[in-house]
Amino acid sequence: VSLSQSRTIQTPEQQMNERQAVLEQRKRINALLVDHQQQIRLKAAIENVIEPKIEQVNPE
Amino acid sequence: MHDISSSKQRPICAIVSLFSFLLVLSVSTFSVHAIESDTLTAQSFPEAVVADSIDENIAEPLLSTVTMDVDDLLTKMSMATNTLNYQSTLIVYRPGHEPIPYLWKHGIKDGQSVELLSELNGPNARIVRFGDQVSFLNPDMPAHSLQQSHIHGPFAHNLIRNPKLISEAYEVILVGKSRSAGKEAWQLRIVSRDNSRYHYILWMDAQSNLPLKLNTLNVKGELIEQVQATNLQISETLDADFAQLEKSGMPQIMHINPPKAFSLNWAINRLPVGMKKVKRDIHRLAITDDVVEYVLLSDGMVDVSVYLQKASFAQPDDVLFTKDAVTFLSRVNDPLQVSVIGKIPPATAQRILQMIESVDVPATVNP
Repeated sequence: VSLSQSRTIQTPEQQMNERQAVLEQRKRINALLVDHQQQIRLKAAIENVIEPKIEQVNPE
Repeated sequence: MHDISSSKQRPICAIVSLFSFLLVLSVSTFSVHAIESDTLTAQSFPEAVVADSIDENIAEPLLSTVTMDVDDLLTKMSMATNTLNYQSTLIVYRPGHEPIPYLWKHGIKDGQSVELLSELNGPNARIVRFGDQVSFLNPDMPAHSLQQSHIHGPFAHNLIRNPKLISEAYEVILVGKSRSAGKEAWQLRIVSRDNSRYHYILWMDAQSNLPLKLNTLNVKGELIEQVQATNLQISETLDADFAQLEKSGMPQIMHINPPKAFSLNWAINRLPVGMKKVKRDIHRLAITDDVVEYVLLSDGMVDVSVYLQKASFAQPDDVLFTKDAVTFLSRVNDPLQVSVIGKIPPATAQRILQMIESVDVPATVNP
């Protein structure tokens, strides 16, 4: 058993900073994902898709 | 006594065996054909001849053949989706997630196409379309309407309504007939022409031509999303829900100003086959208020967003993950962060990201 430690022990402040950075990154990723969905919805609103002419044709 | 009886049965057994052999041989022949058609290679089969194995006439199921043109089938599906009165319960399943049930209704009211999509679990979120007016009725957000030609529903819009718009990026191959949601169905494969997008398998009702099921497969052929109709009803008359809903009772249309065309000083110099740039702008993200330079790409089936923004912190490695079949890829190249998001394989997202390069543009902003 070796008592030597190669891992640096983070101070509580460093741990908090790291946690905040992770949360900030998640928030930024989430913001992009939400915007992506919104852009897809808005795309339908701005594009001029010509739909086929509507005629009521039900099967016999 | 036992021997005599056995010898009498022998000719009958021989005839039965011979018939069974011929039947097995016929079935094997069809199976081989089906397996060959099942490969994901982008072969050209403009017109497929398939055995009608689910023919109601059981006496000669393997002898009858049906010649069916893929384009003809897709046109019929488009017509049926846009013109029939129907309602369908759809289950959207993604491996590892709880299935999401939807109720989808369509009809013709006063000569106008009307559509309703409601989520059956959770808050009673509904989307109603009267012609080109789409209203979002969600208890969690203010009700509003947008001028849109369609509802963004579980089935890819262009696939079921404007199949020609996907033909540049995908090849549609008729596999044959099978069964889905208790109905005889045509099975079609939608294959990415350059193998850079996900593949799809579509089942459409052979009688009504309405879509019944859509599987999305990754490049390994694994299922990543499934839309399955569990119930499809077609009626002569308009659904009672539409009779109650009135266009005048819907929220006013929010008019969206068309985005200004900005000259971005970056471009994607090479895109996957059939993928086109459909929008570019500069806007703010709603959650973080960050300003992003934005490009929207589409191949008719899937939409891909590309963002360029100022990096707020160092990110030594790429962030890459897939959630709900959507790939997210982000790379920080100080001082900029580039992100690619869409229902595409991770390798394709990486290729798009690598194709981004800076371009020289005039300093003025084009209106």
